[in-house]
Amino acid sequence: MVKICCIGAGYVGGPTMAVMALKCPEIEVVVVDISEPRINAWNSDRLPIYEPGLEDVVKQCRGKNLFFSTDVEKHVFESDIVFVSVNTPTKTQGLGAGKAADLTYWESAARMIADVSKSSKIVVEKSTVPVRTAEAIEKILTHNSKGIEFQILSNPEFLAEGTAIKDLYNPDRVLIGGRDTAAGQKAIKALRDVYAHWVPVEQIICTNLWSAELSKLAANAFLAQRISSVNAMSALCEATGADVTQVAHAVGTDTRIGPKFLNASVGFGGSCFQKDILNLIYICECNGLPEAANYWKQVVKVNDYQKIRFANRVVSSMFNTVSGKKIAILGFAFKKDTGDTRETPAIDVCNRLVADKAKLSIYDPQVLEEQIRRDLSMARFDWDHPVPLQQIKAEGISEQVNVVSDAYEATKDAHGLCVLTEWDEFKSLDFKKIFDNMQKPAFVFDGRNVVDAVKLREIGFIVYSIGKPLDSWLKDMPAVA
Amino acid sequence: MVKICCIGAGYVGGPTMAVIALKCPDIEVAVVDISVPRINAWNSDQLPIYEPGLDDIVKQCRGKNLFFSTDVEKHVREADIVFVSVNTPTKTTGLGAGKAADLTYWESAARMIADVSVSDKIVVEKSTVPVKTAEAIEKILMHNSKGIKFQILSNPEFLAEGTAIADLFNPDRVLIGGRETPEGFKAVQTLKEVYANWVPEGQIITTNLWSAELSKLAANAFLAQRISSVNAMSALCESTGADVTQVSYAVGTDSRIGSKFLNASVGFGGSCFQKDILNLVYICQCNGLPEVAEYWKQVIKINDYQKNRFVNRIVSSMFNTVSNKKVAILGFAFKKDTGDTRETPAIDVCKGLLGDKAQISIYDPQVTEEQIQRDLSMKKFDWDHPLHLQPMSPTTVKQVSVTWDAYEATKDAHAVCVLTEWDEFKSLDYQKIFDNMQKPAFIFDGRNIMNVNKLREIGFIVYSIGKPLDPWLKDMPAFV
Repeated sequence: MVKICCIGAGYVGGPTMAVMALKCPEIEVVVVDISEPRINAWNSDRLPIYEPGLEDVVKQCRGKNLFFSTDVEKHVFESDIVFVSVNTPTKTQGLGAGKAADLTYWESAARMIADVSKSSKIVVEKSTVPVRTAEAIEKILTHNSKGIEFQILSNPEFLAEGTAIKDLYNPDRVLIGGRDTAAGQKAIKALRDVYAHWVPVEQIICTNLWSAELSKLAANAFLAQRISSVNAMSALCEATGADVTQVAHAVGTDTRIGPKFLNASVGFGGSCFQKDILNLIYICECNGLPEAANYWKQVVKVNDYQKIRFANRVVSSMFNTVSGKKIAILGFAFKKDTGDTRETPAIDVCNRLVADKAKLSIYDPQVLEEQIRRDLSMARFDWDHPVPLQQIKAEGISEQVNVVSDAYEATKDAHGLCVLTEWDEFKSLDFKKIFDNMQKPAFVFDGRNVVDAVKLREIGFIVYSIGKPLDSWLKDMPAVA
Repeated sequence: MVKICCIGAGYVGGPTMAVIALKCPDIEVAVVDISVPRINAWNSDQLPIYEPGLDDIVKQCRGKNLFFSTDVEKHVREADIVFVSVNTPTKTTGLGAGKAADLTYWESAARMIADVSVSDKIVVEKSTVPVKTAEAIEKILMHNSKGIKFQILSNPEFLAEGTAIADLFNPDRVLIGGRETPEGFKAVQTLKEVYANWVPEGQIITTNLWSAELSKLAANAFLAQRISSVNAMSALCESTGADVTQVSYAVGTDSRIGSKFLNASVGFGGSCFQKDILNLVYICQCNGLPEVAEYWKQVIKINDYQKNRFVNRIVSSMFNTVSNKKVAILGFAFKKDTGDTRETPAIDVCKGLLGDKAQISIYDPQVTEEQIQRDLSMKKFDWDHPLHLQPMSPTTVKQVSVTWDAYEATKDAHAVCVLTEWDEFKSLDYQKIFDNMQKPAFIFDGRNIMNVNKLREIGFIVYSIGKPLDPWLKDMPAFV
């Protein structure tokens, strides 16, 4: 019986291993983590992460061929294939701070594997790592191997939060990179055989080690670039009277470009896009390619630009001051149907408005008050480090920020209303009621293009939608980023 | 009977009108141009442009409901719909030189339309123009209208050279932009009905005027960006040992990104991409959006970078000098199956090598010697202006010879550069080429079409864009 062990019971490791156990009944899968509360949660009825369909899968397999344990060394020792799915945060200090990936957790995992192993193993990179991490890991393993053979593979995960189980069932592709040696090819085949239980063989792409590592960063850079490109167009649309929705549709119907991932918005967020691009930029710089680095940097720059542009629209429309004005924030998560706030554009927009002395009243159906307060007082990139290591800003933001549990309460007596997450429920709010309870003139700033601007204008709102022809009010109050 | 007139019998106007005539037998289509030789060619057996399938269509319709004429004013006067498909080159002097579109031809067409018209007309922008051109044209028409009503529409053309007829028969979409007034909507509807003769209604997208104008520039910018993104990755692949073909395949299998237009190469070329992006950049600057301008400028920058990088690879690999060395250039057109050399990366690569005093010997199955000599002695953007306005080339470039045969081009050469992906280059006898070359013999494949392993076995030192490097090349790093 093949035995698989996965180090790291997080967003990637948990669901991936659960699906693997479900699809490969004859393989024993153990997910290990040093965090006892996390493993306890995986062994309880309340799993530590929410993904549609995940609970079912875990319930079916747990105790049969799927196990969660804190006994890391024992399970690594017993397994044939070890997945490493530990966190690789962006460094916040030292060489490459703000750009490079911090491989501390990865390195200690590798040293532990070398320490406890008594038989040959395939070690699989599952975390997104910089190109050539595999080489570093390989060196650590071989220099501590005591004669044991390690083959290292790169098998980046492409699942998206909110659709993890579906993505794992029907991946666009599975990518496996390994050494171009006989032993390397054999290891690739062993892992391919695992995925072939449920993924059609032609969708399993086998490449060299560096290509697989780079592909994950590249795919995220290309995706984020689509959004930044549309957002760049949205600024020009506002200036010229074009409508970004029409432009994006016309562009996306070109089959060489494709229609997906072309929605203009206040900016992209999430734990991967920015982090992976910053990482890519750093690698380009380290390899003496400043031109390529600068090229990809633009994707992040336009994203920052878009967030600032949005906040400036808010301020400039309201007579260039929001000081002491109540502004309602609807939505704080980085996308709908998740409570995840990592790198959400709402953080930057709120911080900007707070700096302009606005009073914010925030409502999000899934995000907790505690999380919002932590996000708004945290230094950049700190979200990706363990809580005890996070540095919280000294001065509180408590008096300027209010978190409420209802959109109507958030908007009551407000001067402006900002939609920052595309939650479906925001479309069906009673905007007449909201209008009646707001200060006049009442502004709506739609950062996700989800509200019916025509209807809201009829009610009496002054409406700003990203990349749409401007209200005459807004035309007279230009916002320069 | 609806009458259509198209001003400008070029790459866009000719094929587009021929297909409209074919698909709409009850519409009379006249293509007019002030150039007598061009109209004569359209009326002869030797059409002035080559596109697969075009000959057949013109033969079927010419003299029935498709006419080519130099009597511009008569046909404009008689037409209900006037397409304007004149050239909009990049300005080479004055305000916005090197970036802005030169609307001289467009403006005089508009003034002529206003002059000769005695009945209401729909005027359709078919040329790629900067956003808000329609507004300028509209003003010219209105202020000279003598009470005649003009409706202006934007209907940008998305056909690609080499597949123009196939693209026109089955377009991804047809885009029509017009004013959001009752008269505007009516005009949009009229043009929509023309296309509805053969294009499914769901594929005819109607928008406001500015969206349609911007969409053409945007679509080309997005396409060129895909290439620059892959090319940026190719540089990183060479440094890290990744293989750009594997990376772009893995990226392209993400259904949100898509697999097309992701080939690494020495750079994109052609008459539209660079021109449209420069235009976009200029519009952003004029609208006070320097950040957006800078964003799109990067797409051009990486393209230039890629061409420079390629030249530097050649020079650095050959002991940092190509002075007086013969370098063979296989392919000069900007892509295969065309003789078009507008903005081809070959121009920049050849100029770079000439700057380093190389002797270059060029072979391209479709490009004439005269064209190559003109391209290599011309200033940037001059290709897009009429021939008689182009500065006379003082002398032909002496270091350049153009041959009729790949074997002659490569004879006694130190290196071979593949700059166009012509199919015939894949089946050359490389053993024979190797035997007749100086040693060490280099191949620099700017299109990734070579069988690298086979060439290495023969004895070549091979450079492919974005692929793991030969040990030789690793020791001779190329910096831009």
